[in-house]
Amino acid sequence: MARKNRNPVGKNVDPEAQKKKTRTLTLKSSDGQEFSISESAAVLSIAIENMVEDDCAGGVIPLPLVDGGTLARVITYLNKHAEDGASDEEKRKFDEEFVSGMEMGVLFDVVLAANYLDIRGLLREVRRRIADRMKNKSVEWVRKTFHIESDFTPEEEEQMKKEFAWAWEGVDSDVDD
Amino acid sequence: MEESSNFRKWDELIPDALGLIFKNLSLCEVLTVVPRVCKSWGKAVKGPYCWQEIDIEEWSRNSKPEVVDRMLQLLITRSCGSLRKLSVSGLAGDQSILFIATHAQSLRTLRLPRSEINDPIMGKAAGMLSTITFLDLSYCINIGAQALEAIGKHCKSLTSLRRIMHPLEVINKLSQDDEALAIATTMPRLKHLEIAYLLVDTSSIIEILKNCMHLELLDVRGCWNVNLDEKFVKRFPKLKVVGPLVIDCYDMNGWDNCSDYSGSSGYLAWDFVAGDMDDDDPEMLDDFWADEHPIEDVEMWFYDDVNVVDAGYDWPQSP
Repeated sequence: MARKNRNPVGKNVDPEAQKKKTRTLTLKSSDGQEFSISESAAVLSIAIENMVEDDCAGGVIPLPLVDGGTLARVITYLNKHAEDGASDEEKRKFDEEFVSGMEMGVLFDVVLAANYLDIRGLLREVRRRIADRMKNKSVEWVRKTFHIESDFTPEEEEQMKKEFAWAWEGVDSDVDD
Repeated sequence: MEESSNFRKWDELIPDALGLIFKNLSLCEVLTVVPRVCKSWGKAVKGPYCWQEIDIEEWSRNSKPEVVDRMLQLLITRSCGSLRKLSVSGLAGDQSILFIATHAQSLRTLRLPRSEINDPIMGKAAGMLSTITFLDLSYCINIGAQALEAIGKHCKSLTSLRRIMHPLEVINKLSQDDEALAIATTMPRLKHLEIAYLLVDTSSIIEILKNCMHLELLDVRGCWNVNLDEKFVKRFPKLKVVGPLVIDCYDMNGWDNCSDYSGSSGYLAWDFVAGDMDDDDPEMLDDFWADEHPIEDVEMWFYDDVNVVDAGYDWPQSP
């Protein structure tokens, strides 16, 4: 890859940060796909940062727990967040759009990847998005959305329904006592 | 054939990942919906990952004290000593604060607004709260200088203190200068101090400034007796003073660590006056008028403007 021209902005530029921007790493997914990414974007993942620091990077970083499709998404996220000109507002907007279109299966893969790669901002965003799928929903609805089958007996289900009745007694109704 | 890409084993996700997802749900959902989905989710909700941060402030505001006590015991037990943040409103029982304190080995942030705990109990608890860095004792009317002193002596990591008062609740008090002095003498490490509507004089504030050399934010909004000389304040270059005028025109930069200035209505006594007054006990008003204490011209606009304030955003000018 051609080396970009150094582009002095007139301010004090940290030479180390500058180096990270121009240095490229290669990430290799579980299914063998390779992606190049600038070091400054890659190290937004704490796990990758640690690998780079320990110098076990050596050109190609294998990520055996992340498949190619998921890694491509994660890299899109990292690139946006490492972008120079992007304002916080812009990033927030990006984050929202980034997760809003994800299906349940994708959310699952991304939350695992973000967890493994230790990307805090992405984790927070994806977790919130997953939780949104449960908000104000019934137990049955949540099971359907998440493809989970109940492993309770009907008796257990009945009992659990009542377990926390004491905590919301009289909260919904206007009963005076 | 492989499973369709839409089918993932959500019930097999590890408990800590699940716990952190459930954290985004309301208390009611976490306790009454999630655990009924499947056994593994139920197990995750019973474990510590959901409960490192317990925020039941909103729920507790509408719940009876004994129910709040029961809930606290249950959730704190689940946190297995990993509790880092706790926020609960209107804590009434002595046992509860002691229970919190005995499980506070990892606690950093403790918010107890509107609680009824008193000085002796808080004094007892303070000894076990040595790890906290943020403490909110706003609107706790039974707490005074003695409790603050105990906290200052034992909680050496404390850097943020909120002790905001409700203007209608302090009218029975002559002064809270002793509280300010307790802060000045025992909490020299404070960075953020919010004491809106605390009944204090300028001299007490000067003591605080002289002793708490790390202060970056001092909020004295509504402390009408405070009159700080600008030149004097300038001797503390890192310090930002807000108030005593109640005008919502400060910039929010750098305030994030201070406390939850989460959007909605003003975080001060305001939502109290605007929201809670109508449905709370009318006695408070009666007391106000019956009180022999000369009514200071101070808060009169509270009544005039109560309705205007519902929007909660604009702070009216002081008279």
